[in-house]
Amino acid sequence: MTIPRTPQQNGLSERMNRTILERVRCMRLGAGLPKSFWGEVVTIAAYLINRCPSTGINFKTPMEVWSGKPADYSSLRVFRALAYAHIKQDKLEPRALKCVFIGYPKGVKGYKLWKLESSGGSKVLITRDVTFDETGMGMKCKDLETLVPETMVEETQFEVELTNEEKDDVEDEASTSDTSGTQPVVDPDYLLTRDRERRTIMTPRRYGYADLVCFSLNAAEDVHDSEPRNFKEAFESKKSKYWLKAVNEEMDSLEKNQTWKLVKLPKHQRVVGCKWIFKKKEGIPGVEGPRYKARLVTKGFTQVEGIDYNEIFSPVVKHCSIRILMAIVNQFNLELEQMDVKTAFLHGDLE
Amino acid sequence: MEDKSKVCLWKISLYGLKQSPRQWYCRFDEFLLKTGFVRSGYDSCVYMLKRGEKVILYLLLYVDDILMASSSKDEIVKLKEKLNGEFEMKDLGPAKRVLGIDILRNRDKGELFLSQLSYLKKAVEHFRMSNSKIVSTPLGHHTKLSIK
Repeated sequence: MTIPRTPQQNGLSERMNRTILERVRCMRLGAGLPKSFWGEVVTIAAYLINRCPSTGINFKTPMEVWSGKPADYSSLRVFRALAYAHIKQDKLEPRALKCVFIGYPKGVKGYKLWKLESSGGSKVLITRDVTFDETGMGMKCKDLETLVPETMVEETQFEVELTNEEKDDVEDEASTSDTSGTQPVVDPDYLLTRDRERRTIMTPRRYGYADLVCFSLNAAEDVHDSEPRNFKEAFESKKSKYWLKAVNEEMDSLEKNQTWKLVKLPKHQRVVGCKWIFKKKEGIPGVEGPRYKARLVTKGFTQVEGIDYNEIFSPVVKHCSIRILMAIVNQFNLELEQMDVKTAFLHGDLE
Repeated sequence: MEDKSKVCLWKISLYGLKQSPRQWYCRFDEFLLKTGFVRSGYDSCVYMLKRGEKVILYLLLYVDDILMASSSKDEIVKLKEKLNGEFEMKDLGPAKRVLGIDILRNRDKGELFLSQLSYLKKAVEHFRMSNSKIVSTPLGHHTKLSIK
């Protein structure tokens, strides 16, 4: 950021302004155009600068750096070249209109022409169907000036006056800016960053009171609803009554089936640990309450292949087998029924 | 409990053991072969009950889920009785859902559709996206997936 009205701090763009303005001056004078064309000249000067190699970017053109594609020079024409724009009028009227080339329209591919012959409507013509005569510089300056509408000429004069005024302005400024350093700052434009009122610094609201409450409520819901991870948690949880009941059920069924017997541990043998798994199955509200399940499982991950077991297999049907069965069922109109084995793994005999 | 030197020797397989699924499968396989089923050479979880050359009953096993298909209801009932005598079973009746796939049947029209709609809904719910807005294409059509 720079201080207002201090171009000294804005060297880069000020230097560019100079480059552009130098070209504008040469082009305008070379073409002999009135001052009122300054806007067009600035536009075309910038257009050309953007397509010229620059040392600052390793002799690439700004266009190439910007778009990644090398600049296209096929449409370049001599500024203020005579141009004959193709127009469709009456069959017996001339097919072309004599114009002067003044630039490249923005956004479209074509040429911006200034009509030398009045044909009604706008003086500016944007077209693509042009024949150029780049050998001469078109008409003399006077011819062109006569064709510029009177209002525009006035404008030019006005502009000249304005520039004089601006000059005075600049001088005034120069005289005031010398003293502004010592004067107390009143003008808001001159407000320096260090003189500004410091904004109040707020602490991040991440750990605010409201969020803490929100978090604890969420956490409480989770804790309330969660399943215990081990026997101790189940025993200490609010629902311990239900969990213990589930544990007892499982133990009863294990005992009923005579699943184990106590033996002395043979020497040099390890024991595979076991743990309880607790699951809460949500029932249908109003019809069936949630069911609490407990199951004793072994820590199979401590088993070692070759010592504790030799072969493993999971009875999983192939997916395409199911699809084929469905096709057969539909084809022959078969009955399709489903069954579920309770505690399937407890049916296997252990060696 | 008092004697710490003693350990439990399990006679039957238990959940969590690596060999449990295989033990269960061996047991079930043995039972089915005894009953007269033939195991498919292509998929060892597909069993067929043959009478002569004709297959009268198909049985698919997915760990503890059993799917049965037959032209006669009597055969299925007979098999169910046999299974109930051997294992602790739960009869789920006509198959409506297998492995998260819904089976929609219209026997009058001879139609059978498989749908994973409820499975997808569950997945969406699991990722808490059930209230998300629906977009016809999740990626913009301008999104480039390859470098070229």
